Amino acid sequence: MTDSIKETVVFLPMHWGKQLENDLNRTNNLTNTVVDPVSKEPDFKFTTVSVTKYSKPFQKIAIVGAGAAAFRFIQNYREINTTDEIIVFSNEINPFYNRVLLPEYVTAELSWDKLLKIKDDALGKLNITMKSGVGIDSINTNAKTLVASDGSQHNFDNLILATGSRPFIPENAQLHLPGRFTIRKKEDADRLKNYLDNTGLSPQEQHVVIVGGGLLGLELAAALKHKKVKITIIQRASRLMERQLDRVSSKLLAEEVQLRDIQIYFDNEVSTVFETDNTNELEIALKSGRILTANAIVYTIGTIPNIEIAKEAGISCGRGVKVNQYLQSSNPDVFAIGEIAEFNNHLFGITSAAEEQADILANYLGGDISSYYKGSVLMNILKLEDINLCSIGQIEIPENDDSYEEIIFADLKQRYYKKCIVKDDLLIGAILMGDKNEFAEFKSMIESKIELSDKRNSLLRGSSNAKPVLGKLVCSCSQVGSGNIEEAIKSGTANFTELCKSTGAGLGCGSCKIEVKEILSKCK
Amino acid sequence: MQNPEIKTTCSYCGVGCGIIVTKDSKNGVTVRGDENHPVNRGMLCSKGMNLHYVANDTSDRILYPEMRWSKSHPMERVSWDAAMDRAAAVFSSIIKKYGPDSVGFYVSGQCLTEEYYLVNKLVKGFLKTNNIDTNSRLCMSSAVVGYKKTFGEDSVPIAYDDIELADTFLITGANPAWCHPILFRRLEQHREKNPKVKVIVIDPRRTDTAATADLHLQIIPGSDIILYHALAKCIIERGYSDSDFVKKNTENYLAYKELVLSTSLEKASKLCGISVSDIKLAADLIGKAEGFLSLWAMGLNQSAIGVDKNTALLNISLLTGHVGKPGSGPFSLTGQPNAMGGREVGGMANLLAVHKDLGNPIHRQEVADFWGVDAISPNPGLTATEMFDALESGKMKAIWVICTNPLVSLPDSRRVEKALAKAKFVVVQEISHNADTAKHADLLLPAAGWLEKEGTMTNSERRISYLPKGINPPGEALSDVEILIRFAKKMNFTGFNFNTTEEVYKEYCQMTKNTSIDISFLNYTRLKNEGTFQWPVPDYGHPGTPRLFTDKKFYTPSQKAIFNLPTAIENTSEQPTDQYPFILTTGRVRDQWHTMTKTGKVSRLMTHSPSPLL
Repeated sequence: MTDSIKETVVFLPMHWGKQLENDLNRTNNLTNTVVDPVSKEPDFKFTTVSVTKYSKPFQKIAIVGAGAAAFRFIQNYREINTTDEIIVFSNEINPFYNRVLLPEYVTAELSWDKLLKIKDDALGKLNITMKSGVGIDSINTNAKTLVASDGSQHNFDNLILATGSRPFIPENAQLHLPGRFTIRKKEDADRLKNYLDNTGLSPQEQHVVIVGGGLLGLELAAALKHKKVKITIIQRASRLMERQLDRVSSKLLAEEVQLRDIQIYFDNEVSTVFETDNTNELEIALKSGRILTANAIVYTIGTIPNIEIAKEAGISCGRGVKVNQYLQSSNPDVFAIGEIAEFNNHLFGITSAAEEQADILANYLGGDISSYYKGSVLMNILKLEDINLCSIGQIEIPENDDSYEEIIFADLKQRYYKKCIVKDDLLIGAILMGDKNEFAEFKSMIESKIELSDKRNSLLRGSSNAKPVLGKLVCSCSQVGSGNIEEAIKSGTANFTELCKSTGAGLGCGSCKIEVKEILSKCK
Repeated sequence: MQNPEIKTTCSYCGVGCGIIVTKDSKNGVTVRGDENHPVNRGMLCSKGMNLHYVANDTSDRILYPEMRWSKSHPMERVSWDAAMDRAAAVFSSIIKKYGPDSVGFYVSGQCLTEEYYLVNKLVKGFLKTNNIDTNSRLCMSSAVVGYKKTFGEDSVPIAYDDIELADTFLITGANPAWCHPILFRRLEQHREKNPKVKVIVIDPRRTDTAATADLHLQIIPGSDIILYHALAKCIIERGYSDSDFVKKNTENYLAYKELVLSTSLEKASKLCGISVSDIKLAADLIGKAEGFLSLWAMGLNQSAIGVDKNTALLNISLLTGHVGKPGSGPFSLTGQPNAMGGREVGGMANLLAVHKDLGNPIHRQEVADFWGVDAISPNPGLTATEMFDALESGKMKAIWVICTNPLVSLPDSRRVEKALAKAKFVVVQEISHNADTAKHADLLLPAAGWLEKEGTMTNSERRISYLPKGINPPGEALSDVEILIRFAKKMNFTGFNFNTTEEVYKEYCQMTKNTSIDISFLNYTRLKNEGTFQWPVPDYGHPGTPRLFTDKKFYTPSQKAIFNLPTAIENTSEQPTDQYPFILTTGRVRDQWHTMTKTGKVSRLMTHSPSPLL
């Protein structure tokens, strides 16, 4: 109740028209047509109305997949709706864990517990039917049924596909033979871990070749290196993370990596892998002719979206499942989120995009049409010990187009490099290397597309109001400590999303969100 | 452009702030408030200071004419010549078959005076129908009628400088803190310097304006007249009325006195939801005022009894004699940059240019003679809502919409949507694809926007300013004046041989000669060299007129102001029932304007209130 408006009077602003062909937010749907008899001016200020809370009919929602997108959807949806039935199918035995941290799990730096997004008792409270280790064989969109891999049949009102992706594997990789690996699931990590343990060699004696110099490859390399394992990276391109970094930052990164005694072969590919007479030893021939001897080879060269069951069900697909602004596929009862969702010809293979999509879908299925998906800003943070590196949005500017402006700070000797790209007074991209102090600020500036105005002239000029880390570090992406979060809560931030925004925690890879939530609930 | 700095006026609300535009080397522009402008003295509000983003971002703009051969055909790009041929052919054939009243124009308070004048001349003089109305109908038509009934003509008597001269303000049915921010800043500054200044706000909502008031009367919607009568009763009983002024300069006072004295304060208190002591306190404040300004906007105008609310409020100014002297007067706030200009050129269905009346046969003939046509149709034109009713019923076949978005702004939007779908031919002359109405067009004409064309506007204090063209419109977009002239020529109408916008303005200025809004001695050269002017400007070298009625002579036949009695005291809208127990009132948020086709493009303005809310 409020006294900011007279009792029995309600107020609606009139600015909004249709959103995506839907007129439910248009105030003037309601206003009456009475006019003044002389001036003929309509009476916008007096319409009798009733106000009731929207209640949604019961539905059964089936979700395929139990990764970041599915988890976020379920969490958010349960905050809006506690009555709908939710059934989740996951072809993995272990649902809802943080894939991004698998490299640290391989090296036993993190225990399995630390990867779980949710503990069992909390999962129970979400009131879902969890079918672990059960995949989906087929979908019948007309009958609105699906057949699970255990032979059971299930009906649904809404189906959410969040099937993620699988590693891309070169044809000649022969993963069934010993010593060859990918890293996607817990089983993959377990296999690699056990294999290395079973070699009987000390870490210093082990040699792992990693194919692919992208985020996952580098993070795995760093994690293993931390244990003193000898590492070699084979990169087909002439530089690391070639799609996420510009030439300069890529070069600096390579220097950093090589400084850590990791060998990188650029412009090179694996041609053949042989087992040698020694157990647990491989001979890896590169296209350049060089031959490496190693204990294991891990392929981290990209992923392929799992869209086969959608395709077979007749749902329109490109590289992913095509979706509209409500994450709806060509079939109105079927939705797709996460790595498989293709929006405006773009796939957004990052956790933050999956969560953004999940939020919007939860609102939509909950009955709120006012938020809709506009695409995500791509962003990459390399989680390497004492290397601070991230890129957000567009990282290079087209040639011969002077509507783009670059602001660069470079101290190459110290491997400090920061770059902003501005177009039409908007920050559209940034690379931060050396420290990531501006990460949270830049990310929100890029995503919100807020005109820079006066801020334009202070970008990268050291006026950033980044706070020092207080207490135990919680968020490594944005450098936020538990003390910073507690401080923000004390100053009145009680909403989780707000808390993330104001402190910067959880805006990057999102791994720390559970911890942030815990701090919040403790402080409450 | 030789001079990189351009002086112009903001294109949002009716306050009319001066803006200095600077062009950069890449043809982009930046804006800042004009320090020497009499209205804003360098200040700008959140909307105005972000205007350059709107001008620089042309991504939503309509770039070339598009049309479709029938509702089932897709829109396709056409040349201007083909577009105007089509418009002329369809309008001619519909008029031939169904008569002139089967077509109509729906225009906007954002149109510049020259455009407004020209489209009225075109429709009323040459298409021979009076079906031309404007979105100002939704905004201040009640105020127009109120002024006419009280003062004889639609004349806002005050100047903004009265804000610094007044000591008591009654703000009723308006939220200037959000909707007319610069005027409100001036009021705030005035209060800071003069702590004895009192502000009374009447509003059902505790708006930002109300929150800063000395006295907030949180009224039940629709009961305004009862409250004004209760205030008047207290003023009379406590001897605050200006009996000298009332006696010499007004008519019909006795009937008014009898009516308001019959008001029961207790009953009024109950109907308005305001305590008797608060009513008395407000009456005391008004009664003791040396300079009394009443400010109002949509809260009064947008009502089933909007005219009566206006006259009832104006009566308080008459009763206390606070008219035609510095620091005093009734001050209607307009929401659109050129609502006032539209009123001057007779922009509405029941008006004729230069404050002449459509219902008056002598006035009609005078205007017809000036335009060189036989006669103006005596049939009153359809007003905004009536036009869409007529489209729905089939009485009207074609509509031409200029610079407004009725699909969001008119009441009962779904019905408007049906009406547009039913129309045989819809022409939409617009700048932005984001306007929902553009999607219903059979012919879509790209218009030039702010800073892309020249012309004049009048603000809420009768101040006329000249807006130069600073940048070229994107694509093939043309100024509205140019589009209308091209259409008129395709229709083979005489009287549209204008080579420049200035020639249009000259013709209009000539027309004002010897009227009470005489600006026959105003021209582009004076506006460019000397800055803005408040009308009338009836003489060579005349400096303009800050205040009207300083001689206490009004534009009525008796030269006296008139106390009007309301036809209804209580609200005539449908009252709440058990089924619909709430009263919905509508309005704006701070950083948005109208249907957001301009402000919606600026992210900085979207952060204050990003989504619809209740």
